[in-house]
Amino acid sequence: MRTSTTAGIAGIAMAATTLLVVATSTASGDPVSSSSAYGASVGGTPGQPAVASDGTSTQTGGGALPAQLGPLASGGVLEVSAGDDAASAAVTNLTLGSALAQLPPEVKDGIANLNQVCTGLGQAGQANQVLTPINDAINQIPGLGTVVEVPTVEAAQAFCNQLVDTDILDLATVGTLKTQCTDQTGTVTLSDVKVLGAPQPVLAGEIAPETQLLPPELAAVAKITLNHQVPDGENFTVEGLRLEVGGQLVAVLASATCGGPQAEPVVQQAPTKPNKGPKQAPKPTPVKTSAPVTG
Amino acid sequence: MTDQQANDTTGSRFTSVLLLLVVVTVIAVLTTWDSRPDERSGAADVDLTKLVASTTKAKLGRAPLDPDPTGTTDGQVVHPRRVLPVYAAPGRKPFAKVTPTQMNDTWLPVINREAGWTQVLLPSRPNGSVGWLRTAQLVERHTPYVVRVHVGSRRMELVRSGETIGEWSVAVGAPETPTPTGRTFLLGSIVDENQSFSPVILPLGTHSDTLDTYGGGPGTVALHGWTDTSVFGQAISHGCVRVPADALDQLRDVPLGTLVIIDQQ
Repeated sequence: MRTSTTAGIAGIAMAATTLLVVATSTASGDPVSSSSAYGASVGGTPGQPAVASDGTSTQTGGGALPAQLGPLASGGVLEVSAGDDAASAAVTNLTLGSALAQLPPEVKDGIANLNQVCTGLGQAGQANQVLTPINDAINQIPGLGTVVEVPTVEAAQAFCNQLVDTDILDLATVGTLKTQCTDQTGTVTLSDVKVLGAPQPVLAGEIAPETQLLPPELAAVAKITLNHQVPDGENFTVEGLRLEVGGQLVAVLASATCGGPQAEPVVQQAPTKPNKGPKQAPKPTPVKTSAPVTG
Repeated sequence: MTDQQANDTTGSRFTSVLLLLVVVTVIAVLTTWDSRPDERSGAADVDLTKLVASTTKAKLGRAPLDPDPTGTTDGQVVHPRRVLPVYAAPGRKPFAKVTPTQMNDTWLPVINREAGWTQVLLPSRPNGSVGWLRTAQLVERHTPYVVRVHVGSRRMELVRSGETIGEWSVAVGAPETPTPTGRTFLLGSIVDENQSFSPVILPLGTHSDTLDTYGGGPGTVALHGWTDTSVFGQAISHGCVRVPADALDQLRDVPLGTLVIIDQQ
């Protein structure tokens, strides 16, 4: 167990983007850079599986999604790789939203009830015969009533159209979510995306950095970011999918970290802290949010 | 239907479905977490789920208090890369946690160091709360700035690399709602449509000593602008420091985590 624990700690250290980039040289004298990658991290826990390389060789690993991800995702196979200033992390055959089986009975019953109410909407005549039962049904599902409101008949029909033809056990499937970094650049690609069983060619191919999948007004509740990029000095991290709820990081899928350009290989010696100290902290970018102050 | 319309429809539908997914996920995570005690640790021996997050809304009854509330530092600030436990002393039991983001990315000022450990100011009540973090899981940066607010003279200084680069007459808290003194820091930089008195608001890590809540918030004190310039030089606010527009312009460049030292001078 000691070996396993040590390896885990090493994985944590290397998966974190705070790691110091250590430059070494190959036998030919060419400079190399470290890199690392991990498959999934849940609730701030260390990414798993994780690999790290000092740049002199390529390390690969793989495995299944962590059990904690069950409510979010399942069925995925993880592949991670780290080499000379290049790393990748891929999740294949990913199924999102396979959580219903794990939900508590009151939530499952609430969703079943909501489906029944939606099915009966066609026979309802007046607006209050539509809106009252559906909003009641929404409010009976713990957590849903605080973020979903159906104020009009049209909204009710749209909401139910999504719901009644939804196999909620299988909201979306992703053939491959792949994150790659090389030096100070990174890409995230999606392939074979299906939502409710329908192919989504719009979501195939390279995804633009910082793509937000939820509308800005929900940012205080939840954010899903694809291709989240984190330059950090000589390190550069790309996260394939990042889920935040209430400002707190819930999960990261497919993260890769690369070292920066290494113009001057370091002579073999123990890494030391630069004498000049840390770099200057960034100028803040204001964010739109509500945080009452004393005025 | 055009391709654009089709794409919009697809995007809207996918967004709606993802919203439902998020709700389901959050419910599932929150309700199933406790049933798996062996899988919820952020570190080998720390259950992060049971620790309160140190935010501006939190009250940390077990937090130690700032040992040097008027002191300066070397300007080092740190950013937690992931959710981290906060300790009252190195190696002791954690009493809170810090998250990588709050309003913005979280940056905290360093006030002390020991081997492998870093002590920081926290943004929670009581004012002057501090805690220790493991250094290995922090991004370290430097800020050359210090903001000094003198409540007595109702003036504010912006200091860069030891030199005062700006000084302004400002509005501070009224006698019944004074601006709290002590050492705090720039916690956030926000645009809040519900608070239209300033184009940007800079919440601090400190709170009103006389107002437990204000405007639905926890009494967070901030630096911000004010539309009526006649307030500058007066003790008139509910605790916030109202600054002129040119001061706010310069403050917008100051990194989060920068010390704000409020004194009675």
